[in-house]
Amino acid sequence: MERMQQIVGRARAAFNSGRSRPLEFRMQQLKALERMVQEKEKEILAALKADLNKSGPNAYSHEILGVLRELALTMEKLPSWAAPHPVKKDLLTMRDEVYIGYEPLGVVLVIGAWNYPFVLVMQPLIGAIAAGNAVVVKPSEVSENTARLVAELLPQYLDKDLYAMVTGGVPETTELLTQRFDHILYTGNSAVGKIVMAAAAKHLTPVTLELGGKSPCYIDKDCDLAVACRRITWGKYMNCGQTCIAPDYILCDPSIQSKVVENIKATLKEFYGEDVKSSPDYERIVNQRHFKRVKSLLEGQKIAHGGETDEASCFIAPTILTDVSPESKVMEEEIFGPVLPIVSVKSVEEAIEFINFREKPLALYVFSNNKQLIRRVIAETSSGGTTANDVIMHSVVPDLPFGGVGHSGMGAYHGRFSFEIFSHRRACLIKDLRWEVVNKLRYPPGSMEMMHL
Amino acid sequence: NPYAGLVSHLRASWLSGKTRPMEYRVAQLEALGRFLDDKKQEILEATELDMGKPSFEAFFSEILLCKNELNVTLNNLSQWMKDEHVDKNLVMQLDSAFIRKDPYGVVLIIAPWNYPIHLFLVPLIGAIAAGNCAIIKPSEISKNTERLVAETLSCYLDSDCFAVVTGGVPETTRLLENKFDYIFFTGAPPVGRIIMTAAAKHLTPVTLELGGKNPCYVSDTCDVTNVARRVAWGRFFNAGQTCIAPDYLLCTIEMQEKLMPALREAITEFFGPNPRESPDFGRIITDKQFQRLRALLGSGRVAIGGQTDEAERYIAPTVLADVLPSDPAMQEEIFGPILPIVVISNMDEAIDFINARPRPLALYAFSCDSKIVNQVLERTSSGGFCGNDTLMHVTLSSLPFGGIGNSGLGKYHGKFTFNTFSHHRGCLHRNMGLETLNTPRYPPYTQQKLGLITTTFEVKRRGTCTLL
Repeated sequence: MERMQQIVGRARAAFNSGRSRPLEFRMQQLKALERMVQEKEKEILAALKADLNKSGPNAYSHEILGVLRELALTMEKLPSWAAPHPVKKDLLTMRDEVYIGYEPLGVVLVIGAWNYPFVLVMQPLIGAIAAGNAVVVKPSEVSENTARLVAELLPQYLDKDLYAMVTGGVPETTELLTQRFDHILYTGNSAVGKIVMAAAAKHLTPVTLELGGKSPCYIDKDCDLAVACRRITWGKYMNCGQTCIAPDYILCDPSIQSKVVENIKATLKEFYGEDVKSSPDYERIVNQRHFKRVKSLLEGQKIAHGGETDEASCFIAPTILTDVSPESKVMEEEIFGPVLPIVSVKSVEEAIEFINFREKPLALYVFSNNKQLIRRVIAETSSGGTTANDVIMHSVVPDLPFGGVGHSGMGAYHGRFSFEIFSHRRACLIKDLRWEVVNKLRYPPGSMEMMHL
Repeated sequence: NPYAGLVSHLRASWLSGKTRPMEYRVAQLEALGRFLDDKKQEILEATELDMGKPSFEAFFSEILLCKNELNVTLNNLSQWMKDEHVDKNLVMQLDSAFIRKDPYGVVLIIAPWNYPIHLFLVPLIGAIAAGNCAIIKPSEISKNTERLVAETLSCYLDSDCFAVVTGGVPETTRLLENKFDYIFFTGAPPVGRIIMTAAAKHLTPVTLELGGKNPCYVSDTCDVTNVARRVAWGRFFNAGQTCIAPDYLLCTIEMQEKLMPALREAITEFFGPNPRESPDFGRIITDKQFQRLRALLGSGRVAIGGQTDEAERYIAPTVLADVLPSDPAMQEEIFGPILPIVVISNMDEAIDFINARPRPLALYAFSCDSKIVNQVLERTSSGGFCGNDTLMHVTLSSLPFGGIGNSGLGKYHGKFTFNTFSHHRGCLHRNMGLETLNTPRYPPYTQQKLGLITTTFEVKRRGTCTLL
């Protein structure tokens, strides 16, 4: 489709004009984005409600607050991030200027996901703008209301040529990926991640892939179960389980399994009341396809709590499965729904082995009063990120990089890390044309005596 | 899959955790140092056989620079390995937030022939320092060095964790079928694409150190003698077979005229009246490369050099004048001892010329006027930049070395190599107490709770007032 070529071509021409480079311009665009979020808060919340049945306060704290915070942080720090970084010199370069310059890459492609549809396009966009790039944004078509809103709003607030919106599904994205970009940040699943990276390889385009997987949650016998289960319940069932860093499944000793179930049940009542379906704070599965997918994971499982579904409204009740077999379907793929399997392990060694046998997850959780045990679990496993004694929270610390490893992704962003992945760190050495005498050491004719100097 | 056994053996070693302790990594790194010391003579001999590498050059690039990287790494390893603690907000004051440097696992390092020891060893230093296992695939084209590495490296490194694989394209293709946790490739852009495509199948992150045509702009205001020496040195080092060599010169016709005698003099100073007899001038690696380069001599006119000897694969240090953008010498990375001069009328034209082409690995600008050097720097894009000299920016391990666009992705040297081969894992270790502080985030959601969250999680711009 020529349309994609034109859009990307326009962004590239706009980038080549140089106007996105001055810091003042970037700040101006970031300020405009901030205005957009503040002025259109109602519309953004309405779109999130329509797409995922997210309640106002929930949507605000999960999506809008994060974006405003990222904007404030970026605008605050941009001058120091963008300044050249002098580096350590050696004897031969003592008189020279030696530093790392931060430069924009060019035209960046941001592909968003549907589960946190606003923040997952905005946060990368903020970093890309801050680093001085032109950006093409492709929100997920699955969260269609947010996609439509963002497509309408961005051109109203930002430079239209530098920052372009592309909407559409698989055919449009495939076409878009044939164009040359200078960095692609994709949030989504591993299967599509491979396709994005293969397309990027044709142009030698660096990629940041924020993927997913099954994030394990190990609960040690020695821990405050009530607190642990409350925190886990919060992270698991928020957004109806459709969170890339949700605790996917629990690993614990069989002797505490029933206590875990009891605690989670109690917390669920506390959070959503007796009738979850009528709680304004409980979301829905995004569409029929995912509803069917998650529902099918319940087949043949021991349902300790929940299990109710309603296809018409894509409702799946918060569900707990016990004595789950590691070979069952629910343990094969990322659940991305409000279903929490509990798998028994008899020791922390077994838990570690279980985790390491599988693909590296995006997040890893461990609950214990024993600091040594926590340190051990972290040291003997690998994951994108980790939170001990809580879930999700490592992703909101602004100075921690957020990204996956192995199957859960490559590269990281958030805050300063966004600025860095969207920048080229250019090594600069500026010498003087005089002082040739120092150089004579390295010129031929060479001799072994010279070498020992 | 002929390499599946080897890869799974390394992976088993990796899972055993033996590469993790600092002592282990230090021991392996020190063994690499001993390899360089013990095998110094063999390395000089092998690279001389492979491409007539002058011993001075071989010592400098294959031994000295490698030992520098080793020492920087050994001196700083404990610091680099430490968890990096980060700032926390109000609610997390009792928690611990830090970045861990986790090894990736089993990494693959593919090296080219032009600096055959350096270009596998320096990445390997970082891979080991970061706690990984590694497979090294040296270039089959520099076959004497390949044999040396294959036969002797295993005597120094732990063979459970480090292996050398030899072979050509078919072997490398089979090797790439396996899953690696990181792939580090140095070589040509078309092969870089193949590597990245293969890596995509396993979602393996990559660093690609590629190449291109590195422009060298010489302004009218400059010390011609020094420029000529620095450019000649960078161009003719390793008989031009250097990814960061100045590939072509851009200057005015007046400067071309002034430079020519200065270049001639520098070449004579370096290599004597007959460079063929100088022990300090190298040879072309293969017949195929020799023929490719010889064909480029028809571009422009030969102003200096131009002599060749097929039997020796010798091409004299050559300068081509009045080369046109459409000439063969301007269509591909030269990678040989030939320096084309393309005449332009002014700096703006030079910058436009550079920007119309793929972004190079290195970019050079020479001028006595620092404003000119800075203009060229600011208005172009390249992997790295050196003003008023060539090659030297890569000898400083505190500077990142890597390309952009067609010239590559990722970077290394010094700490950057360690970072390349480690996964930076964001970790938050929270307190199990103080659960009341978490209440605002739990359903049922209320505006009041939201207000509390906003206050505690917000980052305020400096200068805006806050109630807290």
